[in-house]
Amino acid sequence: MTSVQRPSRCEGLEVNQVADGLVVYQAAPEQVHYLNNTSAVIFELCEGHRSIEEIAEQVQDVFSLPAPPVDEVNACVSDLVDKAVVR
Amino acid sequence: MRLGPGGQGGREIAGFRLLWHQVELNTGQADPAVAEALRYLVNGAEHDLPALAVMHYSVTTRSDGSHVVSEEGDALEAVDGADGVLDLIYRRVHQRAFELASLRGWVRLHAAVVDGAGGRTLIVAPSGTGKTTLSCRLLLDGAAVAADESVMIKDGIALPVARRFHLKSDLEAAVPDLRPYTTDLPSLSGGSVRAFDPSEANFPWSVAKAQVAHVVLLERGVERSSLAPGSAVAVMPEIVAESFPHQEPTGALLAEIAAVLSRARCWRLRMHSVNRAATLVASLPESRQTSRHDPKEHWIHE
Repeated sequence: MTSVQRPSRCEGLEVNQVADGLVVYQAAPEQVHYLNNTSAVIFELCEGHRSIEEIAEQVQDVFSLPAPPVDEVNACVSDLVDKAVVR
Repeated sequence: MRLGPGGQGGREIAGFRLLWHQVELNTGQADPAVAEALRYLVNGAEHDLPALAVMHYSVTTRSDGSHVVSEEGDALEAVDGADGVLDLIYRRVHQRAFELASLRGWVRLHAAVVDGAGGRTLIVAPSGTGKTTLSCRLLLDGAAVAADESVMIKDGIALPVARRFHLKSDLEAAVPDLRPYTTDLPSLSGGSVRAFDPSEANFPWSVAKAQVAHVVLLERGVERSSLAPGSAVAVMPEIVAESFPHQEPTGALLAEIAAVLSRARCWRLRMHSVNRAATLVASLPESRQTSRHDPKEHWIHE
């Protein structure tokens, strides 16, 4: 799980929308990451002012879920941090 | 290319490169027919460009015989038959590869790529004209053939797309000395197309960016094979017709084709005898990077 309290997208990323999510191009180190639609929503919500719980509430709203998926959002943010696209 | 034990079933895991992607295929939980079908995708081309992403695909065969294909752990689809798995993964890996290339400003052309004494040559032609036949002849004659089907272009640079060469049933009649290298090849379309990997036959197969020196428009000839200079303006529409637009605007497509044609020399090759056609391609003059072709040059006949 991530220790990041209010995750925000890293700078210098080139983000492109494709049919099934986002293609995130990172110049240094040069890498490309594919985010599926769920990861893409969470990535977009990482603006530095929302907590994990607040992001989970937004995701609940977007996908009409019965409860905020806090654990899933936490895992996803942790993965995005590992990919160095979120900090 | 890498083949080895993997997965809980102890079967195969295979990896190969497609442009900027490293693709990993795990068939450890699949019927052996799936691994056999996926041999078509795997090739040994050496890529002189970094892998920017690793794409993982896994296949699990269910008790009803259908196969579930997953990409990065997410189930994509359940399909019937090993050929269905191949079709789905083929479409996905190529979609990903060409999507990324397009986002980076590359445009795809229907062309074989040959590196010979005259520099990098694109052989452009519609399907069925003889690109692969000519490519195989050139390969056996000592040229480095990097692709028989498609190439990415940008700023006058060409980047071959590695794909096993598609040998149609009549190819070996035209290039009989290829026969020793064509046993036990994966096949498509009920066996009418066999997929040849030059590296398996110990031919070098390298994928790297290089400036385009020559663009050859290949046509079928009814008499003798001949090679003639062509004007960039005249060949432009034919090159455009052999492009595969992805999501780039038409203007960008035309600009990239024009960038190639402004630096390369253009030729029309009418192929009757593949042997003579290969000799003509091999005789293309050394590149003069910034010059256009000399309109006073004459037809070169066999």
